[in-house]
Amino acid sequence: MRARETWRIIVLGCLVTSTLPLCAYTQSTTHSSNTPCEGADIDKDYCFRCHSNTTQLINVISELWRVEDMLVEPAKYARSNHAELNCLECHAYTWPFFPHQESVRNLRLSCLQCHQGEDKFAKFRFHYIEQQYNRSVHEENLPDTFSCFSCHDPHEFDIADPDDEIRYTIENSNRLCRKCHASLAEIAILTTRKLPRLEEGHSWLPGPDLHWKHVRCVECHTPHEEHFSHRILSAKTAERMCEKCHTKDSILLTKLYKHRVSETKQNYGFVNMAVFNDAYIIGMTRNIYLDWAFLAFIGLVVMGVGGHAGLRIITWKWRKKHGK
Amino acid sequence: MASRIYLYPGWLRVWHWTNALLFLLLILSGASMHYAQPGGLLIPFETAVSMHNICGITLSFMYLFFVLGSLISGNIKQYIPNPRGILVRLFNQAKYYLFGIFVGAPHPTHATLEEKFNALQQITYLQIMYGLVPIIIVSGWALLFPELAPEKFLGAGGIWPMAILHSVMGFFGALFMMGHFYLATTGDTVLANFKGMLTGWHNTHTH
Repeated sequence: MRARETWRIIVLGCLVTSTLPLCAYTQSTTHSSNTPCEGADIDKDYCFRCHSNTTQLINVISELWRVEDMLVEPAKYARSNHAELNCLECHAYTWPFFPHQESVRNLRLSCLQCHQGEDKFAKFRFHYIEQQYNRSVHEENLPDTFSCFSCHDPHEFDIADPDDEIRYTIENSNRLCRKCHASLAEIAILTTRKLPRLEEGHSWLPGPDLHWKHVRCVECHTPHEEHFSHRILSAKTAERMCEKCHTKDSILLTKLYKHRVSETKQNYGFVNMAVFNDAYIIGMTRNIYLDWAFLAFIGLVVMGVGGHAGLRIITWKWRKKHGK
Repeated sequence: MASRIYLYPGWLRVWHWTNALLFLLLILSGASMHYAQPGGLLIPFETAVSMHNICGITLSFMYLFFVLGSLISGNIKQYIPNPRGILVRLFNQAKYYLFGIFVGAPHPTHATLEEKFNALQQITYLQIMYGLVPIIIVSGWALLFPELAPEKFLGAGGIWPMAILHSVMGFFGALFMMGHFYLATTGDTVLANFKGMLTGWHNTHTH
């Protein structure tokens, strides 16, 4: 125990010494932890010294304090939508000493603190997202433990690009859901409710693995609206009618393949070209020439058989009369 | 003078009627999936998928049974037409169906133990049983297990040629079913051929 305390003092001393410029900076300003942060000149790399695995410092720190849930991957952060932001723009900097005050951990950050009221974010419709989210199953069942950050890690968030390959869009989207729903241990952290395993909950679905590979969870677990909805539906209210997707006018054309529809045109009679290069979806992938040919040939055969049978019936009496 | 011969052994009749039922269910369920729409008149999609999968897998095993049975019993020879004079036999049979049948002309071919089928039947059944059915089974398994299909085919998803092939073969199978069912009524009586395929006995006429 004495050794442990000694180490703590040594590390603390090193950290404090190396942050003297920061102390000087923070003491000269006043800042409330509840207001949106202003920009700061502190380099992200400064924070990453502890809050990432890029240095060995984290190995020492984690021996003494719980930091595993405060790690950020610099490479992912650099690719995220928030890459240009300094850490201090979101995280309050009333922590001149290490470890930071407990209040920093409990700071209730919200996407809407930044992403609301500004014209440049209007196209993302954050106001509607909040409304939709408030009606979702997550908010209904986990109002205190669930938030935007439960799915969207702001340090890694990278909005889906319409030009991305569909399979990457599907993988990235489903990974968010599977992070919790594919792990009973993760669910147990959020709730005491006993939820079925993913496979059990989808046992009604033919070929669930195929579906998870080729469509996003949200295709069925969000309502069919003009814009993508954040109102996640429960197992009971999620879409279960197969024909909603497996049909020529599939709802997938307004969801997963929405951005492809503008490129859609018939090629050699294949409708729904949006999916052509990515998947074959029974009932949705159709060729109108083939379909019409099928129906025309069947019509011809029915007429031929009907005509032939009719003629046999008509000539039956004559054949009987003549003993044939 | 009328007599009868035992043309269709038990295993063949069981296979035939099981196949007929499977084909019918596969056509119905296949059409229900292909032309699916909410509130449609066909079988609900979810039910159609299960029905199609179960019947398709069963058909696969029944086909293996048929091929083995045909090889062991020698029945496979019935499907191979004698090339000598085949065109004449084909013409005569077609002429009977298109004209002769209406004026009471005699059947140009009579079924015997050595040759159960007329030339048209031989050509048709050969293409169906050793062409269409294996293709539809293989393409069906590729749809059931898409990982077996290539990832890409001519730049597009690799599964779609299997799907197109399966649909087209299914369509021809449906056409065959209609023609086959109707032509079965062209025996000595409307139900004669059906009875023969149920009992195994075929009435012949010695002239």
